Amino acid sequence: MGSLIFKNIRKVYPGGVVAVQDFNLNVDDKEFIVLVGPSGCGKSTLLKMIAGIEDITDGELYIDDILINDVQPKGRDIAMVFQNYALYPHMSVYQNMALGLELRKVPKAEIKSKIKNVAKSLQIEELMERKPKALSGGQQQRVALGRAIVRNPKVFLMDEPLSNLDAKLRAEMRIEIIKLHSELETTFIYVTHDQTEAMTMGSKIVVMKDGCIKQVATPRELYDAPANIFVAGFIGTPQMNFINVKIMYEEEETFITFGGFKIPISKKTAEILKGKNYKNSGELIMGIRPEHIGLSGENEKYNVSGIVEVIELMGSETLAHMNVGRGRITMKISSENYIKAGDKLDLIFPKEKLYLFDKETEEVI
Amino acid sequence: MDPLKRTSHSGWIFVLPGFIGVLLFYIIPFLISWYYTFTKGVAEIRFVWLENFAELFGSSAFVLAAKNTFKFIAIGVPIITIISLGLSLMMEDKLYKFPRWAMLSPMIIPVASALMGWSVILGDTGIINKLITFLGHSPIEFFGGKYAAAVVIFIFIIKNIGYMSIIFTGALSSIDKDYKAAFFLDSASNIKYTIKIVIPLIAPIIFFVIILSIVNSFQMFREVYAIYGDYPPQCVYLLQNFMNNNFFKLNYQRLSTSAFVIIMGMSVIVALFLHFQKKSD
Repeated sequence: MGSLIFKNIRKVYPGGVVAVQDFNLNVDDKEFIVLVGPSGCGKSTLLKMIAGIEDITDGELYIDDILINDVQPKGRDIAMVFQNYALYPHMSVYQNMALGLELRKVPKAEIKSKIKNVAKSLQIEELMERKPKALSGGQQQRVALGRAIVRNPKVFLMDEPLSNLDAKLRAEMRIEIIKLHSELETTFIYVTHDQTEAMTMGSKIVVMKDGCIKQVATPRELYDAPANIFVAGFIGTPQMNFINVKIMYEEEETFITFGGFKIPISKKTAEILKGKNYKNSGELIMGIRPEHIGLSGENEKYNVSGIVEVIELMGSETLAHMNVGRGRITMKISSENYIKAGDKLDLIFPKEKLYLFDKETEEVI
Repeated sequence: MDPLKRTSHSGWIFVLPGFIGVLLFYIIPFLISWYYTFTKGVAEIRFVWLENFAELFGSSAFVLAAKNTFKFIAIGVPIITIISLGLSLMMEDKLYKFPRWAMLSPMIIPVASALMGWSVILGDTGIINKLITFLGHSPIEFFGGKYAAAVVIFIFIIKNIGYMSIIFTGALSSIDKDYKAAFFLDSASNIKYTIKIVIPLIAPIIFFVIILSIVNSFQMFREVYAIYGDYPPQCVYLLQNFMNNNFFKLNYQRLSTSAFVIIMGMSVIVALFLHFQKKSD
């Protein structure tokens, strides 16, 4: 078992810096939770509070329905993989992996067989006698994972474990960790600032900002239905385009307008706007993902004209950074469309792919 | 011109001022004293191979000074190392706060002033003796008799603990905090963490502190000389007293030979440490 319940968790550092506040979350057993957010959002602090390395200022934290606020780290049955691996440099790989078990007074023969099995599965058998400094980043990463796995804990905590690896190795280790989660069938709590890691690995993602949860959802939900501008901008590469718009109610349809352009919105969204008493000419923020902007056909009624400023060829896709009205947007299209800087393009913003946010609260409408 | 070659020359220009100083004040005097080690005479110099060494080890004064110095080091240096490491570990855990300048003060205060302070505390009419006589006992002669060695070692320890603690604090603060976090996920014992992780990680610094303390122990001659003059009580007659007396007697050969023996002794300790460190790597 490895379920966690966070009830109004709050962390205030000496000097009054609030690192985490109003953190409420239920984590089911065997879930892969990813805490994601920019630097300083409190995600690593939260991980340290779970581990017991940092005290919890307020709130309650339960592991398997047992309140663990005052339980020492070693009593929490948790293993952690650190960003810089935290492998003891004076110990061999074997000693590094064995130390946790030795401290827990596990018989030597059992330690040996556990390490042998884990080393085999992580393909680090031949590294056992080496010191950490004689290992590559990827090998150190595997040893750090191995050290956590041999402990067979209730919960795995991972604090940006891939951030020190190069892009290729990071992609490989991502897959390894996903496989590991399904093999070990244990709860994983993974901290990252990389939204790609979050989207590819997590069964549930917790997006954080300034110590608060901005949204908890599956990767799909986060992408399709972001709750606010922060999440909408944080998830997705390149990030969602945001444009200040005004509402225009007409008899048949409802539109949003900006820079002399007029775009229809879906009936459902229009109903919501009316239901929430948004007035004619009321200001909103419109969001549209770069991959959802299309090139307009000849007979399209509501086009948006833009002038290509910069082109970035990414391979199969091209990013076109464009000036639209007084704003700037990015469009992602197939590289089969030959466009170049200076081109004037007619664009279409599909109504079902538009997101509207309240200008004050920045929450989705 | 080959740019690489020019770079190597400019490197020498940077090194030269420091190198000249080291050459003039350390390397050349060392070579001269090395030369003295194998010679005899002032006006007419003879080469005598190892005769000076044989004489030195046959000298009862040298043997007494060496024994006392060894005892002084064997007692004082481990105590300094352990206490200063302990204090630094406590400071690291923020168990107590102590300003760094205050820790350095025993090193900065001139010997004469410090001794005046010590005599106020430990002197025949000092605070402790006043307390003892107040309690109805007869005063204790701390600076003479059987307590002399203990008092000198005590002053040596007090003088060095602060400085060594600062060195240890620097070493401890360079240890990655995640090591402690990782360790405490499996154990709640600070002692185990210190023994298994901290001490091996700062072993080179511990060794540095030991060597520095040994070197500082030779400097305790100043205190001993200031209290007792040329010939202190036998129990605090140290190698530096021996060398100082030979310097005044213009017996440079014996002075150089004893200095050479000390250097060799230190070199053996350093070589042994480096050997074991290399082996553990």
